[in-house]
Amino acid sequence: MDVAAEARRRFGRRYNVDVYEDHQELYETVDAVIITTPNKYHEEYAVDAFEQGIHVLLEKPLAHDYESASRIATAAQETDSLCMVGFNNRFANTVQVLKDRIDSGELGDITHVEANYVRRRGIPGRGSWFTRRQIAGGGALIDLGVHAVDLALYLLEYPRVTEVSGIARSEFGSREEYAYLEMWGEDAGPRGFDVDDSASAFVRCAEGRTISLEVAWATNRPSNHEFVVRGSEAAAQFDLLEGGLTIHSASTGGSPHLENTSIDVRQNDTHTAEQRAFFDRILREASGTDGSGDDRSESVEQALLVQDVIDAIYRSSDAEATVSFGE
Amino acid sequence: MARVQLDHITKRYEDVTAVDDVSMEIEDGEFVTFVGPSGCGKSTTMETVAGLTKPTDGKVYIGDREVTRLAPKDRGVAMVFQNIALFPHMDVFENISFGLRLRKYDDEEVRHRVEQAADIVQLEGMLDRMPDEMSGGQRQRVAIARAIVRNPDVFLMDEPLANLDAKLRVHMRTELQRLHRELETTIIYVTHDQAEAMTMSNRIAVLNEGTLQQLAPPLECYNEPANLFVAGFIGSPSMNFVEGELTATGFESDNVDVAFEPELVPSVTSGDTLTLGIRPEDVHLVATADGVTEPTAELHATADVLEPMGDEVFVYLLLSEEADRSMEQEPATAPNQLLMSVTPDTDIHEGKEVAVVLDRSKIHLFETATGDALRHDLTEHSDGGAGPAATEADT
Repeated sequence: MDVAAEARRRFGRRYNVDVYEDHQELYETVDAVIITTPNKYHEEYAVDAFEQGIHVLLEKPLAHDYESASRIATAAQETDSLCMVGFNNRFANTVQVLKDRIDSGELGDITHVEANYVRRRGIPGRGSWFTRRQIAGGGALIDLGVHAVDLALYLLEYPRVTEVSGIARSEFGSREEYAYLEMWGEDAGPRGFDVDDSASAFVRCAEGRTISLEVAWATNRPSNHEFVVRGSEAAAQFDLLEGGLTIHSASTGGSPHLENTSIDVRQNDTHTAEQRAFFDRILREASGTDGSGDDRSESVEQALLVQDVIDAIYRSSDAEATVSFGE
Repeated sequence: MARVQLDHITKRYEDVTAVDDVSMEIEDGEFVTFVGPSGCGKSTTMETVAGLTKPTDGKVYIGDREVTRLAPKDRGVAMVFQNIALFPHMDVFENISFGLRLRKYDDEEVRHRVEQAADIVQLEGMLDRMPDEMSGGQRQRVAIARAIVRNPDVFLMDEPLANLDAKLRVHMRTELQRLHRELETTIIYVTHDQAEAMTMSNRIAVLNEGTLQQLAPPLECYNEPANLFVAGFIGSPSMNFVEGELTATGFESDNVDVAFEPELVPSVTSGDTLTLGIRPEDVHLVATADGVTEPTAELHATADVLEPMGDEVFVYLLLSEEADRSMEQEPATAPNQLLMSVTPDTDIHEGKEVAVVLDRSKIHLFETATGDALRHDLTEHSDGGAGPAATEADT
């Protein structure tokens, strides 16, 4: 289903399937949907799906703002529908290997995550909905930040968040002379660009666990997609786009030494893995077996916390002050 | 309709205990309010009833069913929250009926229920409006109607009036009381506003730092607070507290002495530190204390600051010469200050020297170390007014 006739026609021809102009017509024929509309329209399509008992894989972020995200999460809880949010990076083999190492205790207690999702010049489709606050709810922070925040919290096993301090900047998107090599989507120039193109934040969680966050569509810095997970026994380092996991440890056995173990992992398509997990879970629930076992697909409440953190970074930026998470 | 039972509920997070061993029984059809300061555990306690939070220890029963591990939608509860969560793309009818259509009711049944609920919250004729065409109060009524159509066993309301303006909040308070009378459904209501707690509830549960302080009818919490926390939290302005010592002749402190037989407080002994509590309305000018049958000895004070409220005047009294106006202390707890409320026609002005008495029947004594109430009445022939029994939560 797409409201744009041309997109409908292309999709129908490419996949040889029926296409719909009205989502309610589609909902009468399916058990599950994947919603990939602009952020602001997630709520309407998701909530209507829940009401028909349809399972939803919802593209991240949960919504364009916290209030809408909260209504989606509540509606999902009130119905029997499964709502999984598209945090596909969790499904990267690298991340799953690291999660396994963390769970085995190899890294000890995880204390800090450095989460970087920094493009040097990579604003998507200037002039498109991505760069309009009213539709997207924000810029680089809501687009890339949700991935980085989710992944950091996921590796910390979703602790209680206590405090957020951050800043969202808008420096490059509204420039007439915006230099870039490639752009995802078309460049319609700076007009209408009213969102952030980079953000920095520090997130404090329970028991002294912390996250430092750097995200950018555009900033004067080499691009960086490195995650560093520090634990009491060892650290892990990986590149979100390239894979490549390294475990850094230290020992006194024999003679004091530092050890850097490089782990090669088969690269996988995270979107495919995510969709498979979604369908597997629907099938498990339909067959009566408990479908909640897969921690990669537990996500609507977690997505709401991510949205809360993102919202808090924007508020912290506006207020130029730290934002506390209270009762 | 159903009774709700919390059986030794504890909720621990990594680093904090939000709810600490809370037990209570809420009767079928009762309106119980959880009240306490921010962070006291009231919302978390309610979330364990709703199913939004799973307790670390303890069990939750609704009716005769244990629901501790059930999903929210399987518990027979309906929730109304502070932020009015109406779907902006649906009109009032669709908002109210959300969830009903999924439950396989036919269209006629859905329409009947929605109209009935709209009628109860006085939204007739507005069913085709969109949320952004309505006022805050109307939107909150839609949220309440959405809860009503579920026909729940228990309503759970978490600060539902907090975002409304003051006038509307007072109006909605009476609306909710009327709703409770009509529906006779069990209601658990969370607020930090003690005025809401006092006016609407059958009983209030006062929480602090995750523990239940007192569960009793509003006036009992006001007149016979179980401990210092409840005494200070319930009532506005707050009760006056004076710290002193039990002697062979009664209570003695730097500025306030009250004679009584120490046998009135048998659980403490001479030399123990006690806190005397007296509400502002129970401090009287000698000149107008005719109605007080058993006053204490006179105290001499200076009227320091007057706060005219219209229907009454708050008078901050200084009890001693060496004025200690330390701004770091709450006025009501500063050792030489006493807050008195008087009628607006009282002859008093700032700087005036006055003599006041306390109404002995309204004096509260607390053991300072534990905070527990020892006694709520110091008249000579009283039967105790309360005594240790007042600390029992289940009345």
